[in-house]
Amino acid sequence: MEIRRKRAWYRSSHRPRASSSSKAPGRWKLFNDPDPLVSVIIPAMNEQRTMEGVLREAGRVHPSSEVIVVVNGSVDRTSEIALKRGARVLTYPYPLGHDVGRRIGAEAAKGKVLLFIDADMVIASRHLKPFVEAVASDGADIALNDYSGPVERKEPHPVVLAKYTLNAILARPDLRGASMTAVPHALSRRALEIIGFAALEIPPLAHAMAVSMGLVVKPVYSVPVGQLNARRGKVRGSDPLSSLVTGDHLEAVRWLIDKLGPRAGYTDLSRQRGRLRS
Amino acid sequence: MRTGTRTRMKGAPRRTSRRRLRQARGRRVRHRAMRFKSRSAIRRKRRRLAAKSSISLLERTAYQAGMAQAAAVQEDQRTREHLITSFRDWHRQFGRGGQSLSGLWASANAYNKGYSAVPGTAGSVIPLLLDKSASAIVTVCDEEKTVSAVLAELEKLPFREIIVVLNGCTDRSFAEARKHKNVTLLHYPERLGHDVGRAIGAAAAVGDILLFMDGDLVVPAEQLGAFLYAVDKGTDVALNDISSWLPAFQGQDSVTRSKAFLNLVLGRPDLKSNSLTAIPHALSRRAITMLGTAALAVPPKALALAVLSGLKISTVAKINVIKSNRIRKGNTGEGNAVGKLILGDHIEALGEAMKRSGVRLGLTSQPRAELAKARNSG
Repeated sequence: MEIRRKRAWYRSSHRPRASSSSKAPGRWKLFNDPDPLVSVIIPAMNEQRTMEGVLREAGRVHPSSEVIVVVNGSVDRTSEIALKRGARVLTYPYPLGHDVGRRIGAEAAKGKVLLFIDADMVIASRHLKPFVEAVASDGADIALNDYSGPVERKEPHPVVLAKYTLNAILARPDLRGASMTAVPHALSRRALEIIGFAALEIPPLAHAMAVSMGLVVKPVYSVPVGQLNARRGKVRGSDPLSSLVTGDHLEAVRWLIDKLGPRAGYTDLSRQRGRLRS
Repeated sequence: MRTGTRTRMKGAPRRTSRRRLRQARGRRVRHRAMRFKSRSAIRRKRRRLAAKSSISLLERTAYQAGMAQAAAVQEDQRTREHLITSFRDWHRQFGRGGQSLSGLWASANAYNKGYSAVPGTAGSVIPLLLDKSASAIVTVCDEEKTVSAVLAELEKLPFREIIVVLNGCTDRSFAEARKHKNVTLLHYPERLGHDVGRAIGAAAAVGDILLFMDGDLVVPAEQLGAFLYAVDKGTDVALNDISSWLPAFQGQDSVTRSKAFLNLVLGRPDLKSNSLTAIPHALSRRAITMLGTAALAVPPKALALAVLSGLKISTVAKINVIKSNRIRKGNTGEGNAVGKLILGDHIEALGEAMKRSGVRLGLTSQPRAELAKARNSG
């Protein structure tokens, strides 16, 4: 109960109840534009509880849009709901993970702007529109969620630390903890062509590529997803997701090293290494 | 002391004043603290108190012993070596400080004072009992104001040698350092660059414990003792713990964060933002042999290699070097030149670590699909 309340916290509560009841279950349907401006990409795995709300909000983001749901490893009604509501559904019987799901969705997308959201939390469309607008009309190539996670303590969560450090290495400390690891974020078609689909599978790598290849990366709007994320159990004592994401950041650092040299282009000042003997 | 809740008739006026309530709460808390304290905790506390009071006794006896030992030999035999050996003998026989550093420090300090109080005594040194020999390496670049004070503190400790690496000095640093008799000077007219001086000093050092200092930061000998003692007792890399003086994460600079990130991915999050970049720190001979002195020129790289080589790394003292760090042109503000240098050092360290143990440094590359499955079922 507690979790459900929390997940719905960001739902558009300002809307009068009557209008939502006019869209009674079974009535509304998404319209997928054959030549859309915006593609909304939603990887989903066993999310029947939130699917309906997520689809409804996704459909309200832009008049010319398509909604792509990448259903993977689901054993519940996720796929049925998505089909019933008229989304483009790509079904995989086995689990893919968020990142691979996003890559597959992106490959199928036809829009000029790609908006990535998750299926496990309902975010009202008014909180999604800024990302699309930033890419569609404000010249951003990548519009990021300007949310950095909790930073009030001395020692933050490993993932927060990794994001800040990567941005510092990329000489973009202004991005703070904003990263392609977090949803919602939107990409331009140009960004996708430059960084390639494969990089989407490792979001920090895609992020590092985008910044260092000169794409316009902007934190545009803050959605506190950390508070909306469901608390998942730790698997065997450690948090495997933290470990995965931190490792992803290392891959990004490695890419920078391969591209820019062992110091990623940073100064050695007046260090006289010739004086050293080992 | 009875502090149970008093029964009150329903609806009867509350008569206890706020002050009374506060007092009662205080009593309850104190009472609870006593009740939950285990017997061993009480015993520990008593022992601690006893140790505290006995230190003053220990100091008194050490002082007297020092005087007696100095008086027992001819004036020309009262050297630093004699001071140390006689203290060692005395400590072995009568020392009550045990193995604790504070006890040892107190008695050693008092012994030295007693010894030096005898007229005509030449050497004064705090005879911190070390099984191994120690070298101090001080890098100096235009630090005429502080270098003498730094060396004076170091001279209080039983170093086998103090090596001063002067580089690119255009002020009176050289003359200041020359005033100290027992100091080995390595003089480079041109600047060696950041941390290169440390590597060169380390290459020249012969001790088994290497303490690294900068010429611009005066640290009391008492606090430096902890580094020597830790390495003497088996630590390979003894770091300074600065975490007490750091702000919350949002107020930290990129350099501090990158230090914490490096430690995290090396599997040592317990080291927090502590690093070989900061001084003081001490290394064992074993560490020097395994890492090579050249590696010290890029401190984060040396730390990464030390972790991956399985060296024993720990923080051994808390010295506030942040407040006293000298502000120079180019080391202040976000994105300053030195900050960029250190950031580059950390990238180099990550790259070096990746060469040794793979790109992900042993962090999970568990297939995302499996992870998704595990999380989804959780």
